[in-house]
Amino acid sequence: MNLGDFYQLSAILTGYDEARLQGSGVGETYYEVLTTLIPSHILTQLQDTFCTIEALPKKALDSELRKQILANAMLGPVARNILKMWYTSIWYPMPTAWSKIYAVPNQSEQKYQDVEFIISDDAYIQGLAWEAVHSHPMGAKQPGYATWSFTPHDIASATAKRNPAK
Amino acid sequence: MLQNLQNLQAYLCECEADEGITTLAQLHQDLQVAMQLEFATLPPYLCAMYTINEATNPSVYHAIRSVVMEEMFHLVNATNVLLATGGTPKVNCASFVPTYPTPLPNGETWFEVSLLKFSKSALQTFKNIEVPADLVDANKETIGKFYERIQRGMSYLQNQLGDALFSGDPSHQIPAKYYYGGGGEVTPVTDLASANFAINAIISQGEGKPSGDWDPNAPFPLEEDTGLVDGDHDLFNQHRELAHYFRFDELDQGKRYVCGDSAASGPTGPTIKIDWDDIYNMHPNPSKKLYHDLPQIQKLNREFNLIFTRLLDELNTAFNGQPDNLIPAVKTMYELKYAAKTLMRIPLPNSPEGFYAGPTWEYLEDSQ
Amino acid sequence: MKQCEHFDVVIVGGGISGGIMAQQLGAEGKRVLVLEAGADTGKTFSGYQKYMSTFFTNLIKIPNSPFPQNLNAPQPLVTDVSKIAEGKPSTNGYFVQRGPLPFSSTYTRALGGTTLHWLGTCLRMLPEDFKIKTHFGHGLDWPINYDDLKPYYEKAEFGIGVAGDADEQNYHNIDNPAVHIPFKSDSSQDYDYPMEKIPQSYLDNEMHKGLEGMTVNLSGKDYPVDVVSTPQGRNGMPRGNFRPRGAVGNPDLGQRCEGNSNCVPICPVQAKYNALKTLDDAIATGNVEIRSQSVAFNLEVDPSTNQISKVHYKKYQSPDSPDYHCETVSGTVVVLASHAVENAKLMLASNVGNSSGLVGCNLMDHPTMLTWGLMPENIGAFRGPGSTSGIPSLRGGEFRKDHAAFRIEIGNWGWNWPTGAPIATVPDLIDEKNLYGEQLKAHIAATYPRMFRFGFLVEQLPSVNNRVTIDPAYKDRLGNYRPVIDYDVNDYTRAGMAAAKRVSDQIFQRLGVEQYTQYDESQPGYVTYQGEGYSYNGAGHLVGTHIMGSSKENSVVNANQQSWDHPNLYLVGCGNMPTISTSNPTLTMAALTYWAADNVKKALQN
Repeated sequence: MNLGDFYQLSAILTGYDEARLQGSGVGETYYEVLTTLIPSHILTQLQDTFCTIEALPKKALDSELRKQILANAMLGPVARNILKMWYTSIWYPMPTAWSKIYAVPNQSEQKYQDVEFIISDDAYIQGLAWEAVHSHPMGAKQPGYATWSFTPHDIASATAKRNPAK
Repeated sequence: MLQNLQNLQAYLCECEADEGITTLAQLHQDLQVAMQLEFATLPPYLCAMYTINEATNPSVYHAIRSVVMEEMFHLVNATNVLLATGGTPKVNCASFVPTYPTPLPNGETWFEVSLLKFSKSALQTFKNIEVPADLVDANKETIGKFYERIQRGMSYLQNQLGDALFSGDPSHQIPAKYYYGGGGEVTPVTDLASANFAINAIISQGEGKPSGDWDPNAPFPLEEDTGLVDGDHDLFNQHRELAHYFRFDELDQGKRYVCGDSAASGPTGPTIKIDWDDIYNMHPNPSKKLYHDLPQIQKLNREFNLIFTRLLDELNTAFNGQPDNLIPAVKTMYELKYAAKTLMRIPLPNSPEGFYAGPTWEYLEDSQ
Repeated sequence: MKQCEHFDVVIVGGGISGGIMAQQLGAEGKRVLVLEAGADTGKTFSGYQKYMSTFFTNLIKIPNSPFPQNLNAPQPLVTDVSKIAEGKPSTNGYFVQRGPLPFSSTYTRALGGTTLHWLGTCLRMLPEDFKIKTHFGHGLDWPINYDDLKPYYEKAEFGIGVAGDADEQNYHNIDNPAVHIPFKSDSSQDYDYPMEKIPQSYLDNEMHKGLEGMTVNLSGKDYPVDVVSTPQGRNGMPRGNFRPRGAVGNPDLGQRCEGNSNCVPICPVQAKYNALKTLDDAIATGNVEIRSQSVAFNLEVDPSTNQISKVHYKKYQSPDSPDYHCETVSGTVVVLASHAVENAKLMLASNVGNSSGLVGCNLMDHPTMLTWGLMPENIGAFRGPGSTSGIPSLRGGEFRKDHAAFRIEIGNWGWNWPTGAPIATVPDLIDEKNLYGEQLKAHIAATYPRMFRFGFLVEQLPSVNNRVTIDPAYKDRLGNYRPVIDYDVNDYTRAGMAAAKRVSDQIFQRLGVEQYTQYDESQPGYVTYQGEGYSYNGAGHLVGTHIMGSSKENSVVNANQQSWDHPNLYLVGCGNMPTISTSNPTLTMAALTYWAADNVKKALQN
């Protein structure tokens, strides 16, 4: 799986477009973690599967992605781990049952091991979960004084739509 | 009343020819130019700053940040002087923001300002912006000389008009409590002395203390090894910092100024660790046409410009009688930072130089 | 033999009380030594950044997560807390817990102390809190009253830099006279906090509207439920000439709270007060020296004068190595400021100051009960300081004859405390709710900003059975004692928890909050009262252990904060407080420390 494919798959999995994911600045690190820990033949299969469905219209893509990737016993846990990295900045160890059947994640003396860990300072800061909450990571990307007293995001934008005059 | 830069240059030449400011309208015009000038330094400083990784290059980040904070302080000071003399600031229009590369709007035509990633050439531009008048040819315009002209104009008008010169509503000025996080303290402008104080703070933070007979070989009057003083120590009893020019010179030369150093000697102190490779390689002077077939980046850039536009709208209301609008404006400044950094981390496809995207800093007249 | 180095004042502990004491005495020209057991990582800005980095990559974001465990000066961790089987002490962490219930609060052993991770709440005590024995027949009376402490509250509010509006904090608009706090007096007609109040959160304001006019019945009497802003040691808009103090080593940062939403465990910009600032001021006097990685372990008494003649400490070179050597210093005055638990431990280990037999006794906390739910509308959760308002109207009243009083804290960080949301709960959306992409994003956007929680800080009474002791069987790596803790929560407090839960239920019903609160037996802080179960957490408010009182028999220190037994020994910190009532104790402790510093100044003059 190359980096470009990784971003394309990630965009579908996360609901954020590729440029936005690239703009987080941590995608390459996630890619490095993934390719270090998951044996390449599995990632190749994930990529091949994704390539056959990525051009489908939205609804069909959703159903095929669920059928062929998320519900696939080998590919599902890998895809979910990619998704969790983006949202939580954490790598979760592959399930024991998965490792027994498909592959033991690489466990040598290298930069990353298949244990639960926060991928980096930057990764924590870029976790998409915070973005999805319409807030900011606790301890970083501060929004400024008094912002907590402002009308929350969705209410503010709904009001703006109803009343477009500033 | 805002002019485009071409006309402004001509206007300033005219002013020079008839020896400075003689009418209130001219003073307002020049103070508006001052605001434009202070603002025009922000996109280049911020571009350099946001291409830096705060964690790996903290000293660079904090040095530029300290200058940025003080440029905002200068903007507020110029605004308060304009308000005090009964003027009407205007910052929310496309012509308020230059298109980079640009000469500075005060008639400094001997160099152009570009939007660059943090680099040696960015630092050279920054030093040009902040250079003390005594370090350049007498015929070159500097920011300091520009402000001295304003000061002469205020004295002239004070003689002509008396106290009527300061007829603005004091409640419209930006009070001290809204400015924080940088050198200087916003002081109310009510008369010639307080107006001169506000302008002096701008000159001394940028270039170091204004002085007629400055000897570049004389060591700076330092008691500690912290570097060359800016004016804050004397003016505001604050901790000492180098004037902007020398803060940039330290980064350029990779060394700290210490006790005994002079402008001529340059910095001789400890090495500043700078990781020149850990900088996002932003395309110089990013413009819309870079993104014409890249809709996702286009969208992010538009989001950036919408935030930028909102910021100028908020500043405009804050500068025209509603200072508490600076509170949402600070929120918008942070949003601008995060939007800029997002763009700067996106590699441009098919760029042989390996350039990354960057924001275009446009006020969108049609955003509503 | 090496001569023992002498100082005017030797202070054990470099936290807020040690810092105040050092700054106050250093400013008077006294030569002061501060011995800090932990590391001084935070004293430089780059060191403080290391704390940030440790926090970012720590999987479990507990209050001590930015501050690495140091085996030479270990600290208790929330993750150590577990249920305790009868007769089998829990020894998981630094504390040896004998139960029957676990003591759930922690503190930080590093320069700056627990203010590195505190929330910043700066409430004054109610006048009635100083005399609960007299008024309600429980607990203990203080040997001083509110009026005695009032000028020192003002000093502490300026020393810490508290943001608040006196007109709100006097609670005079609350229809319950028991909670009114007089701010104005003959000496200070126009007193106000140094900074304007921190803006209340959107949630606070919605709740304020929703609860307007609401009352609850406690012990047969109706009480109002009023949302009021909370005074906070957090930089906001300054009043008058006050200038907010930024980060130590980077003063341009942190002059205003920037909404990092991370006060606990660490404010990235130090807009929230921490004691590093006061210690920095102390050093700036030119008369104060701080020695970190120096663990005091023995106080020596001169039998002829009963004075503390020497302070022995173990100096270690690195937190990573058990190597140390012993040093000795002496002080004309010795001040113990090393935390309620550590002060008690040091006195017990040295066998000093304990003629009353009360050293270590009366350990208290605010057992903190959480309730949480989903608001019917988006309230912008996960934004701002941890809490900007509370419901203080039930802090006092006649019901205290029957059950504990409590203050309600309104949390701004959704379910972060009870569930670890969002980071800890998003995996469940992926693995169990089987969401991904747009659906996942939409689900989070639709639910998480509606999350909210209350914290009920329930009063706990002093008891000689809740105590810190030492046992030679339990020592740390340097051979110093580990605290052994006996702890229980009695029916007075449990009844308060039950009343608090009733109030919570009523508020949830009124606001249409979808209830998600869950207490179950597996939680370490699970207790029952009249057949119903409740769970408490630690508040980090460790109070008692060397209480002040009216006589040598009923207390460890006198009203001057001076040991009854040793004239040159002063104790400071929350350990001096005979009762905890319903206010977070730091402000009161700081006020008492300014008071104690005045007394030490006087003592040194004589």
